[in-house]
Order: sequence, then structure tokens, then C-alpha cells
Amino acid sequence: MTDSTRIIQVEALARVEGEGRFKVKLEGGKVVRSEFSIFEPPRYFEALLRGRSFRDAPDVTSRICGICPIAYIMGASQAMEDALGWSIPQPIADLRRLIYCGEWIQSHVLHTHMLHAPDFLGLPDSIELARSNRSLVENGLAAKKTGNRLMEVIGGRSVHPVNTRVGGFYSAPSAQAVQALVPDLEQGEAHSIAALDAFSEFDFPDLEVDYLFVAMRHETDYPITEGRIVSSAGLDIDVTEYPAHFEERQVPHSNALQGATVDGQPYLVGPLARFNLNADRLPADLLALAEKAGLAPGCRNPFKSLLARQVETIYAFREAARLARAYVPPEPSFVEAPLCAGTGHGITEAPRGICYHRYELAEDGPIVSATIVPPTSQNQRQIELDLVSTVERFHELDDDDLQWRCEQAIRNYDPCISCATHFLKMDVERS
Amino acid sequence: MSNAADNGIVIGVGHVARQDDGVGPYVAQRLHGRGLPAVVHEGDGTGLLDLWDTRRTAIAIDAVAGGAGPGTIHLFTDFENPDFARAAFVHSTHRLGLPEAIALGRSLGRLPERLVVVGITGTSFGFGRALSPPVEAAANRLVERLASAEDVLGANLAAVLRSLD
Repeated sequence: MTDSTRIIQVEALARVEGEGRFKVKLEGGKVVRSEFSIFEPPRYFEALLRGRSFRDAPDVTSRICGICPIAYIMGASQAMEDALGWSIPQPIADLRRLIYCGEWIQSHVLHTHMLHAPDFLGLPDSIELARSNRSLVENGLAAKKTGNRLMEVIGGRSVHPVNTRVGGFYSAPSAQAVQALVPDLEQGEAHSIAALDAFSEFDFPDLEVDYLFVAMRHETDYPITEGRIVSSAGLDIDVTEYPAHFEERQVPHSNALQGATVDGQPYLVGPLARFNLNADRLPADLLALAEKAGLAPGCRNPFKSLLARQVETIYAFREAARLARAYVPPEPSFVEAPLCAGTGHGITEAPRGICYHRYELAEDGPIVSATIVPPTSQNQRQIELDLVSTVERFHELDDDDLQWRCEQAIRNYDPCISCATHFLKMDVERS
Repeated sequence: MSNAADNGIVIGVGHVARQDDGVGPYVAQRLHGRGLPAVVHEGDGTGLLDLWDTRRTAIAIDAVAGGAGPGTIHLFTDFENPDFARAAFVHSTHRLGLPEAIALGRSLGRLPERLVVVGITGTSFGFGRALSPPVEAAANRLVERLASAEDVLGANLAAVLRSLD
């Protein structure tokens, strides 16, 4: 190793979901190698779904993640309904959007307040943050609790809900139970606006990355459960066209597949992509709040994903309150129609970005093949490239500070490593 | 009933599908069956604050990895003690575990007046619902002591815990 060669390495990343590490080799201010490795063992979900009933897919795939189970439940349900030609009435679709708001709140608040904010304040964790900014942490815990409550009331429990099914819900919660959530949701919005204000004071590292943003886009709403797939390069496709434009690739240093466009370009999904491609779908006053906080449409600073996440938290509280006020229990609470063979696609905006499902069903309902593309797989290559940009931009920092900055850069993604690790290609050579 | 008046609670922390990590829930379920106020807590540690911060007394039971032979029972009441920090409570990297929840509760002034953590050294943390034999034996011993003692969640707590040492 020469004097100018530096290796920045973290063996086990903290404050992320799952097991991962990264290694960056730097020579004279230039990165010669960067690896974001996922050594979380492969989980074989797609394989274990084969042969099981289409009804099992939402509950089985929800086990991919304890942070974003709704993303899997909804994506799988939509794909099954697409394969079977079942049409979902608006009241059921609204209830799905409402429970999904609960997941955005739970997931975003945990990340922004407890896992990511300490990075910006030079603090090791949320415990220290609680000492220096008690109200921020208290409000975060209260907001998260409201998200949990929303999940419990509609889904039956706050993690891995049990009341959801292909076609809708096993039973519809009472109007009284849902509307009782409104005061806490309103309080949550107010606290989240105060938190955005606090986050806007953070010192955001100065970095611009040339991203290809990919997100969903809906005719009228900020995208959560429905919409087309769009990109900052002008792509505008239906979910059924996803496999024709995006693919996953195996790399030697990771158990998770890496997403790319079919011509090999990395891309970014998640809050910053959603915000940039859908800023005009936010209420005008919320967009003004975002801009006041330092997040304007076109933002390419990955560290400001924290602000995008917080703007989305405010939106999720407001949207949930709106849906809860208007809620009337859907009757019946689910739809069902005859089975048929077919192929179906489903896509939703998980907290960390688009989550795609595709299933092929045989005549009487068993799953023939399954493909699930979680957001962290899609972002994985871009995370490595962000590490390169971060290290080259801040290479003058000493090793400890540079390592800190690198970890902060990875946590910009709130990477869910357990979700991403879903497949391992095995080649067996026999003589 | 003194326990109810004292508003105390036993919390079994852990995941029932990960073998010895399920020891906390195993104990809590059996204590609940014996009429003690006991709940199972699975998942994010921040939820522990909501469970205990309105209580005068809480006993949290969780699995620890290593530190002694399987089935060894460890008692913690001093959370600044380095032994507590060294005990490897089994939890996820993303969510807050029991020690982090206690540290957060301390920062926020949200700990019960009397909080006792009972750690039980586990040996197998793979998939499955069965506890390993030494862990199951320790769990049964703990259940018997807690369920048969008078006023375990009140004034008698310290004496009951001493008897476990």
C-alpha cells in the first residue's frame, strides 16, 4: 500500500436493517474500488412461493420485511388481482391507501428521527439525541405510535398485519374506530411540520449526484398504491412493462441482486425520486414548506433525502386524516371472482421506493413463478456510486470522519438489506 | 390484588420463532396463564417505553447470547453497570433492542420506578419454536419462582429476585 492509498471499511453497518458492509479503496483522492456488500443470507422467497396458492402470496411475502410488510401485501395482492382480472372498488382502494399511510409514517419516522438525524448532529445514536433534543425524539415516538395504531386498527396488528387479503380485507374496521384516529393524525402532522423545521437547520453535506430517478406517478395524487412508472429521463410506462425496462443482476460481492435499466444504467428509487417526479402532486402549502426547508424540485443532494422523507411524513399524516374522516366501511370488505390462469403485475411505492411483483398462476390458483423486486435491490448499485461520489468529494476528511460520512451516505437510503437479499444464483458444475 | 394495585407488569421480549430468543415470551405466556399481568413484546423496542412508562414496576425478560452456560439467569437492575452493556441481548440491527430502549427511557425520563431485566443465556437462535433443554429448564424455574411468590411485582420483588441468584 502506498502512502496515498487509503481503505475505508466498515465490517457491520449499524442503524440499517440486515447485515451489510462496505469497502472503498482510495488512491490519491480517486476511488479505485467500492463495494457495498450484502452478506445477509439469501432467503428464497420467490422459490418457496412456487406451488402455493395465490392467496398465500401477500402473507408470505409480507414476512420479507418487518418494517414495510404492507408494501409486500399490497404489491402481491394487486398482482394476483391483475392475474385474475378482479376489479377493486374505490372504498377498498381507499382503505388500502389509508393503511399504507400508516406504514409510511412508521417507517419514515423511525428512520428520520431515530436512525438518520443523529448522523447530522454528530451524535452516535438516538439515545444521545434524546438527551440533547428531547422534544424531537418524544414527538418522533408519538408519531410512530400513531402510525402503529393506524396499522393495528385496519390491519389487526402493527407488524405483519393479518386482516388483509387478495381482493380487500377480511373485515372492515368500524367507522368509529377509524375516525377516532383523526385527532392523533392531526397532531402527528403538526409535530412533523415542527420536525421538518428542525431538520432544515441541519448542515447538509454539499454533494450533487446525477441520478436517474424512477418512481410511480398518478393522475391526481402523490403516488402510494397506484400509478404508472415514470423516470427523470422521460420514461412513462404501465406496470406490465416493468420487466421490459428494468432487470436485476448478480455481482460476486453481494447476496442481493442489483437493479439496473436493461441498458445497464443504475437508477434511484425512494423519497427523493418520488418528490422530484411528483412535486406537483403535493398540496401547494406542503410544497412551499419543503422549499422553505431547503428541498426544491430538482434536488440531487442525496443527504436531503431526509427532508424528502419528512415532507412525505407530513403528507402521509394529512392524507391519512383525510381518508379517515371520509371513511365508510366498505361493504362487502373484499371482492372475489372465479379463478383462471394468468400473469399479473403489481407495484406500489414502499417507503424506500417502488416494489414490483409479478406472478404467473396456473388454472386453479397455484403460483407457477414469482418475481419480487424490492426497492433496496434497485438502489444497491446507486448506493455504491454514491459512496464513490462521497469519498471523492470529501476525501480530505480524516479516516474517521470520512467513514462517518460514508455511513451517513448509505443511511440516506434507509437500506433494507433483509428485503434486498432474496435470491442467490447457484451454478453447479459436474464432471 | 396487590399486583394490580401496584400496576406492575412482566414483559417477555423476543421472537417466538427463533428458538431460545423466544424464552421471554415463553415465560410471559406462562405467567399470564398463572394470573400475573404479563405480556409478550415482539418487534421494535420503542414500544417498550409505552408498555412500562406508566408502571411503577416492570420485569423485562429477554434472551442473551453467551456470557455463561445455556440457561444461566442474569439479573440487572443497574443499567449503568458495564456488565449490562456487555450482555449481548439478541435483537435486530435496525430496531431498538431492550438495552437501547432502557437507555432511551433513561434519556427521556420514561423508566418505571423499579425496572428489573432478567437475561437468560440461550444457545440456539435458529428457526424453530422449541427452546433448548437448559433454557427451557431455566424458564420453568423462573416461572415457578415468580408465580408462587406473594406480591412479586410489589414490595417483595427484591427478595424474590435474590432467591433466583
